[in-house]
Amino acid sequence: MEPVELQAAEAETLVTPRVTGPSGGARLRQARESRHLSVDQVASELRLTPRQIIALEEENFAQLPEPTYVCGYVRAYAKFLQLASNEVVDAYPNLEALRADKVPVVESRITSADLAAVHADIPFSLAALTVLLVVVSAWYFSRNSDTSVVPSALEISAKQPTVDSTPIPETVPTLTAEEAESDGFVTPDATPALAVEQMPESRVADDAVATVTDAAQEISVPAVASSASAELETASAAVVAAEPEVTSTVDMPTDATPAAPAIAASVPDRVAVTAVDSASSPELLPASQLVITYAQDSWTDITDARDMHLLYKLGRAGSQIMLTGVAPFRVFFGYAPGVALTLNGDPVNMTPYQSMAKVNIKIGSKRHNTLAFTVRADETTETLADKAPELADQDLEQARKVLRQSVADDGAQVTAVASPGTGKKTATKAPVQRKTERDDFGAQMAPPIRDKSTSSNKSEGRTRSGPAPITNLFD
Amino acid sequence: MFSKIFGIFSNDLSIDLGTANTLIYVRGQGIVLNEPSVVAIRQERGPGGPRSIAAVGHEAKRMLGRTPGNIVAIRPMKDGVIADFTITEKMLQTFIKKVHEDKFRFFRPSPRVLICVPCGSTQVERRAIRESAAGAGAREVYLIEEPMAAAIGAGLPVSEARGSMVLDIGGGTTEVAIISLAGIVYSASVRIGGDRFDEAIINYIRRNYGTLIGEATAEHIKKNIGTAYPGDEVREIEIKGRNLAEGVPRSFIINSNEILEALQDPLAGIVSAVKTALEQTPPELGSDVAERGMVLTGGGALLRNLDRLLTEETGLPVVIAEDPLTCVARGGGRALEMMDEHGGEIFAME
Repeated sequence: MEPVELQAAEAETLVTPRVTGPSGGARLRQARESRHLSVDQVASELRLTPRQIIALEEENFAQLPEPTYVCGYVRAYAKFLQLASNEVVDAYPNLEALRADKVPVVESRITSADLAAVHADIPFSLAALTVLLVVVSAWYFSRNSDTSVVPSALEISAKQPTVDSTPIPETVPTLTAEEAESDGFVTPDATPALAVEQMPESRVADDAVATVTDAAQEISVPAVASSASAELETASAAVVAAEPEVTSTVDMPTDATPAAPAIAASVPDRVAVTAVDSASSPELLPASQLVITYAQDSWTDITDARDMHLLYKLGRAGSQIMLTGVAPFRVFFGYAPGVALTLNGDPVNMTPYQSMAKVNIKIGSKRHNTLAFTVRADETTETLADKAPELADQDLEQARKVLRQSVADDGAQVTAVASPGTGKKTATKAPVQRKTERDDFGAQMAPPIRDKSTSSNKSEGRTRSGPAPITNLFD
Repeated sequence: MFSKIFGIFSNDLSIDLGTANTLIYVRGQGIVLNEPSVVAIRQERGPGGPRSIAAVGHEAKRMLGRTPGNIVAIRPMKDGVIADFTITEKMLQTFIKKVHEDKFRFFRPSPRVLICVPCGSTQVERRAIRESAAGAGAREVYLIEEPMAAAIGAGLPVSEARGSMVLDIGGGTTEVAIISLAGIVYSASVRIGGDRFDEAIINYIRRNYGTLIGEATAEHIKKNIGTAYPGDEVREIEIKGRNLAEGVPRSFIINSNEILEALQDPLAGIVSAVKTALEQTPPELGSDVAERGMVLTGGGALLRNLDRLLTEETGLPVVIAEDPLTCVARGGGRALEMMDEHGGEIFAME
């Protein structure tokens, strides 16, 4: 039911101070007596017992029920006697508590502004959460993008030191093909796996690099970190030499535990590392290097196994472009006779295509005799460090020569391990897992191809945490 | 997860979600909101377009029966239960937000809410109320039967082994209950309340004066000259309505005896419910009730001489509770406190 308005007198009592004068019971008695009413008459009228009426007049609360009832009785009694009921109630001592209990009704009005507030109610929590999410994801992706180029189209591996390299006293001198700059696909970010960093003290890749210079390709020369090497806590170094015959990957992780750091120097002859059994070495990234030398202008369109466009441009006469990607490549030349192509340093026979101008070929599959290699650091069979913990650079070089020889002999894969922190250098010979590539394009490429992000994560992890199995060997 | 955290910034609320008015009681603050349960909905961009809330509460109530085509003023509660679930939820949301507006504004209020439901409401109706409150942002929803809340709010000794009879006349329902030992011994709910009084007045005036009046006018009449028992004085009021025969508005004067006659029907319903309750009450409790009488709460208790009518009809003392309009809300608030003090199982709450 709709609220019937409080009568004015009742409303006033909320603020009226207690009435002075005779108490409530006395007033009631006086009024009853002045009207010549007996207690019984009043009792029958109010449907109360005479005992209750007397108790009300005497204010004998022990004989009366709870204040709620007493208040009601008093009101009824006062009303019957035509007294101002509120005044009488106020004059009762024990009903004060009941009054005090009364809570004021706040007259609040819902206005249009309130409605607007309600409807524009985007919870703060949600907003905060969204902002947080955006910030975190932005940070995550920006962080990731530094390293996520591992499998990406092109790589000039020695362009600059990797992002996560630790304080290093010297920068990396690089010999880079000049075309690298002009090529639109050049990515400034080096991947950790391919990164060339300082190789303190040890010049492991030196010999490998030395033989390379004639190849007119990009050559990465690891820096010689001088005496500062001792201070280096972290030297995660990977040397990728673009030389056709030698790949050296040097991996010197942060902690100087003897087992962890490793320099992998693998010297496979005329080998392109393309497909790798992911089971035996899940960390490996198959990548091949393609060098295109233009004698004449030719439109070039190169796609690798991941359907990634490595190159899509007009190659100018006299220029040279180096690409890294996953073999096999689909190559299209607008003018094939004007182009010389090498795959992992291996000249691709272009003579069948000399007669035609446009060529659309697939290279990097079996007919180019590509092989798969895996190198595992934990499968060391021979550790030079055991014999000579304090091996000098020459020792390592010597070891590498020996190892290379052994590779040449029996196809075994060689891993050279150097530990800058301890000065310990080991060269290990690992059993070769050689796998001839299959013809099937998809089957061949399937295992090593990974999601871009995962592979980037993995490669990042490897560079940092060193002990992981050594790396792909780009040739 | 967040609701618990935000609960720190929210008050415990006791809501008397009534057919006519919604009251919110906040512990330690009292009744902080007393608004009519009316929502005005604006239909934007023609039929089928988006609907938005134009007004809630007093503002919306003023629109009742005075709206243009694109606004409709709705009373989402009917007979003490939810008639329009979505609108009720929106209304509750607005109210809860309003109650918390001076608190931390950034947080969506997430209070513990105790809502009073008619004891005659079905499980489906209770669930609708519960979900509506949850949808409006309540962290936890407790339901308590209205007569119990009314009895607590009126200050009756509900937890004693004594029968207390309470009659709560609301906008949509009248609840009568006998309470002892913090439980309801007998309860009945009749769907007669202030709205039925208004309807009865409208019908009476149409029948006897051939004039149509609106609900707001009927309510105005009821509040000003409505009476349940013939009194010493006869009051009069001038009202205006549309004469059905002439089709033009006419004004006329109506007195309280006519309204008394008009209200006979619903009043008889209430009296009969009370008598039935007394019949059904176990004798020991009946004697307790006879000794102390029954307590009237709710807006209906403010109908003039209603206590007198009930006294005459039942022969029992009838007491009007202090501040009967807020009894249920206050009782709910007190129940929340008792729940904290006694561990929650003191009342038969759901």
